[in-house]
Amino acid sequence: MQNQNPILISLSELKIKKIIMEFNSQFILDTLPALSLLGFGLIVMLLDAFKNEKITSVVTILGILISMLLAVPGVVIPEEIRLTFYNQIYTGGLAGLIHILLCLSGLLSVPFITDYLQKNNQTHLQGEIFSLILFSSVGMNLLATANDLMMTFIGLEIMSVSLYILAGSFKKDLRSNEASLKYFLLGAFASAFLLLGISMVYGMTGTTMLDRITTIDPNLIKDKFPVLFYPAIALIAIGFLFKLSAFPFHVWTPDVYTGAPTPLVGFMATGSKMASVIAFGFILNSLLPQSGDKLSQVIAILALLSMIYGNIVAAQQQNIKRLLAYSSISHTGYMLLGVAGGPEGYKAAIFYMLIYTFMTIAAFALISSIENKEEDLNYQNWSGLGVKNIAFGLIMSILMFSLAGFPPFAGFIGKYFVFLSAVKGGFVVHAVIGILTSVVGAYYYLKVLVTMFFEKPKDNIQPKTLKIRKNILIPIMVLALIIVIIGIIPAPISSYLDILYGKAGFLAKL
Amino acid sequence: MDIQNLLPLVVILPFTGAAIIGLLGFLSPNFRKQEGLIGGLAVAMVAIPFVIYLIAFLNFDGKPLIFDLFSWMETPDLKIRFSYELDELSLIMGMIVTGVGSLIHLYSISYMHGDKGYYKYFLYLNLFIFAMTNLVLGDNLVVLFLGWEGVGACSYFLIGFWFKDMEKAKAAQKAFVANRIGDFALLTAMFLIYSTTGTLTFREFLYIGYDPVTLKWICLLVFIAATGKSAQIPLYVWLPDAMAGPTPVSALIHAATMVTSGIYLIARMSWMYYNAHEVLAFIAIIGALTAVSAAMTAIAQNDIKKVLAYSTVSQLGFMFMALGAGAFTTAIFHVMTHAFFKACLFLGSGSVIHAMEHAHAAPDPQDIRFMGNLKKYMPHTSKTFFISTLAIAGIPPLAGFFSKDEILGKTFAAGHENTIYYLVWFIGICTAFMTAFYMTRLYVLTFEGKERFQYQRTHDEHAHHEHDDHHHEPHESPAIITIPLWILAILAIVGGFLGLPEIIGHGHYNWISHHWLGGGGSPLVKNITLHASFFTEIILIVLSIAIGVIGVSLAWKLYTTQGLQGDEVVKSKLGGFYKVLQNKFYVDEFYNAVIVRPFVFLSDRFVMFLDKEIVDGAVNGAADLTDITGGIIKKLQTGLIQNYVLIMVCGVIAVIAYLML
Repeated sequence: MQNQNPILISLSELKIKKIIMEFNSQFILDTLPALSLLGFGLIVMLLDAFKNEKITSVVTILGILISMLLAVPGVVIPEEIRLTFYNQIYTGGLAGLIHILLCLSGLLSVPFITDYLQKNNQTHLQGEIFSLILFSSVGMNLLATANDLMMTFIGLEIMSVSLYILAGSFKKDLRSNEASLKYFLLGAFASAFLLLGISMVYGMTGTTMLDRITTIDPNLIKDKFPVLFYPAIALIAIGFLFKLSAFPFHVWTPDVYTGAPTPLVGFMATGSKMASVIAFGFILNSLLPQSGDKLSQVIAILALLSMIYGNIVAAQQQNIKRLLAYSSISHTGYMLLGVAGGPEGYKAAIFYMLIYTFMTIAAFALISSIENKEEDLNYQNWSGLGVKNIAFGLIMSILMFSLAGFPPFAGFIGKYFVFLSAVKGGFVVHAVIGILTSVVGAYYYLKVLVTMFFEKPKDNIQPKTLKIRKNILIPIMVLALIIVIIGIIPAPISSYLDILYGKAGFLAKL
Repeated sequence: MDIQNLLPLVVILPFTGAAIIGLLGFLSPNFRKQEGLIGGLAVAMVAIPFVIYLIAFLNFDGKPLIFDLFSWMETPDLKIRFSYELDELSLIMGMIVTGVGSLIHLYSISYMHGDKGYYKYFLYLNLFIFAMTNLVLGDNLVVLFLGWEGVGACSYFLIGFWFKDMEKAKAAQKAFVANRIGDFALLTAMFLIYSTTGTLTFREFLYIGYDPVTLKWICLLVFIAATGKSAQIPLYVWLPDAMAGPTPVSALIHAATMVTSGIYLIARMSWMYYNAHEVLAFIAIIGALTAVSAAMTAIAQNDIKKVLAYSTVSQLGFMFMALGAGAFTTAIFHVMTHAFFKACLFLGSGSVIHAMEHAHAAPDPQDIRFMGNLKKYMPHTSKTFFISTLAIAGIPPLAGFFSKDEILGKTFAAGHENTIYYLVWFIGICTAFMTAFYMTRLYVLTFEGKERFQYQRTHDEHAHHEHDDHHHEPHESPAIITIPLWILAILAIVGGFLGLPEIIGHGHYNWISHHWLGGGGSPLVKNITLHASFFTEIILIVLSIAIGVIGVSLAWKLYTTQGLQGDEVVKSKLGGFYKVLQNKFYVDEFYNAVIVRPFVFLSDRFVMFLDKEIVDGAVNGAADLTDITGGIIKKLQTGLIQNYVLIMVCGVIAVIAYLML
């Protein structure tokens, strides 16, 4: 415990030679997935600078795909997970899978963003938006696979700063500006908590390396620093809970989701949360004495409050983006209930996040396809739309049913695993209340469908463009199909996650 | 190539066919017009699996072939995998389903020509084959149940295929409801099996000991499920109405395959039934009663498809008699021969109906009172129909004789143990006589005798203006229809030789019971106690031949000489009872009065109140509560960043306080 911070030691002049000597080609190979994302981000920026922004979307998709492919060799061998780059990050095995999962939300969003920008005559923004998406994907990757709390913080900031800018990418749109500013101010506020927490942990343990912290008995630290211990962990947790938009740290969510360009919200709401929940669970498991700790209780309570608050307020919303923003708070609640439920639940939370990624990106993409003016977002104006445009109605029904957690859609499976692990983790009451709140959820999701299918069309106020444009219809249909398929055959994916987790030994302590 | 690698195709191909036809048909109106493409694809997706079954059958070495597609759901206590098992029983069922299935697909290409829902029809048909494959191949009850529900759904779609006709839509609904009652019993049986054994996989729960009461209940519930699907008393009412669907569908689903799935299921679980004697006797009695009442009803029907429908119910009754006697292999044997001749009969009737429709000759193209002498116009149809009629009537050496004789022989032999089986046997003999009679009546009234229809000749004014003369004459169907007819007719001739009676070489030449299904390691119990002495056997055979011959010749003589007047003779013999038969024992009326109307009344008056006032009230109340609380809480979201920070700080303080205290 009296050890000095290894980074500081390494940075001292004596060791600097050693660092250079230690640096080898293996490091480059290990970090290649993240590096390639970074590289493609730079390429996209350059393309933009030389007025080639039209091909940026293709290059972005290509870049993300290449980066995902580079992570595949590690995933194939689950035992491969190990530390690399001066023990800063994990690579291979589960870390590879995490990388692939995190890349998904960027990959899936790009076609919809391209289309949206075309529709709004903002194609000149493509270059910066896509390079920011790539950069924030790098940040997500570092955040989720970091072994060093400093690296965690750096990853979080790379990710967040990119997102702040993305939220305000429609520079002449006031709401977009407002979203960006609010997100930035509150985000900076939350980051400060996180950083304070990290420094307190360093003060108590003398290191920021999670693999070393795990070797120290938390009870020893707790006894030695009774006043510091819980506040430190709480502050770190709050940093993440903000990113996850859990009650009461959700305050930014409705305003940012409503103001930011619609398909970008899909990206912001998924990838960053996935990365945060992975890192959150990992850090908690490293710091805490055992899973049934007081902090688990706090998380479970916050999960519950998020579910109740998110669902009840969402039921009040007429603006579909705002409705989804509040409902995302409730989905955070479901996910956190998993995190509170211990290692099993942590897996369930990641699975839930994956399903949520598909549903949310598809939902925002679908909304963006009919959005022309502010009033189009009010779903009360959608009466009869489902009958008029069958494809829109059908896909919206799949998404709403899935978000509400009806079988046989993916959303049901996600909820099932989360509640199962919550019950196993001893949070029976929480699970019951959670299920009750999801009934409220069903109320407002279905209300959208009722308006779309069973109410007489009011022609004068309906959205003008009813047609989903061809170039995004197929990606949306693919997403809807994935949601149905996961709902029917979840076992392959969930058991694969099991295997990787088993091999990773991340949670061996618990 | 290793057959093991090909096996998954038997499940995947029909599904792929349905998916492709459905998707392309839904998306592209041009595709819907490509009848050749749709039909060809659909046939291939059934014919290729048939070839695979055939290869598997020829290479079969007694070890069940198991293949596993994927795990469906996994919880700690219950793992359900999409895994399939090909053993002797499922191989033979699979071959019947895909063999007869591909012939009927082929036939449908021509039969459904020009129909608006052409692509939908083949979509449902391929989907049906997929579901049926799941039903007969699944190695656990869950996959079987999926198939069971799947065939039910496809049957529902196809009965109501021309749903714009309210009668047909109602028939579909009736079939669905009757089937659901059976499905409920099957589900209950599954729960019972799972709660007793903790597994739903056949090879794990079939061969273990049960306490007698549980066993009895499981067997009884599964049998109730079978009465729904396989149209037995009391749930058989849907099958005659199911004839509202296109005729090839009646041949495939409502004669050859789906309706035998109840028999399949009981045969599959024969190791359990074998120990439940009371249930077996009960099954035999129900089977016999169904067989005889359906046969009696068939005598007084005039719709060609209705007669065949009642005859199907009656033949299914025979199969249940065999099951009830413990002769499981015999039941499967009859499933097979019945698939041949009944499919042939139905397809033949379809050919006739088409011809009659084309000729605009009769007010109702299905009414045999307006037919007669059709053999003049339709030589192939009439010949194949005749062959199959003799087969179902039990005239040797056609297929129906062997299987029906074996059923009667086994039931008689079972009389040693329990005298009730003698009664069953006696009912069976009577039914066999009636079968011969009404089937011959059907054949003669349709194809022989005088023409009782008037197609519009050239001198008819209408025809003169609009059409050629020969267009109005009923004429033979094209080759694509007659070829399947002939293949099935030939099978109806030779199929019986797979199960030669015991008097020939002590049953050693009875391939199906002795070598295939009765071999060691077979999933079926071979009941060796069911064995009569040589002379008894001879007498029984002579008796059943005599019954068949008498039935056929009586009806032949009556109806060739008297034509429709023959019915008057029957009527005079039966008196008032004939009217009861004509009205199908008033069962529909009875069900309507006792079940349907009270039920509708109850839901109208009582449940509506419950639903509207109490349930809706509670739901609306909850919604209002949500709205009110939501309206209050949403005021937290002011849009002012200072307030947001304040909320967050409160949150931080609360969290830390909770942890520290």
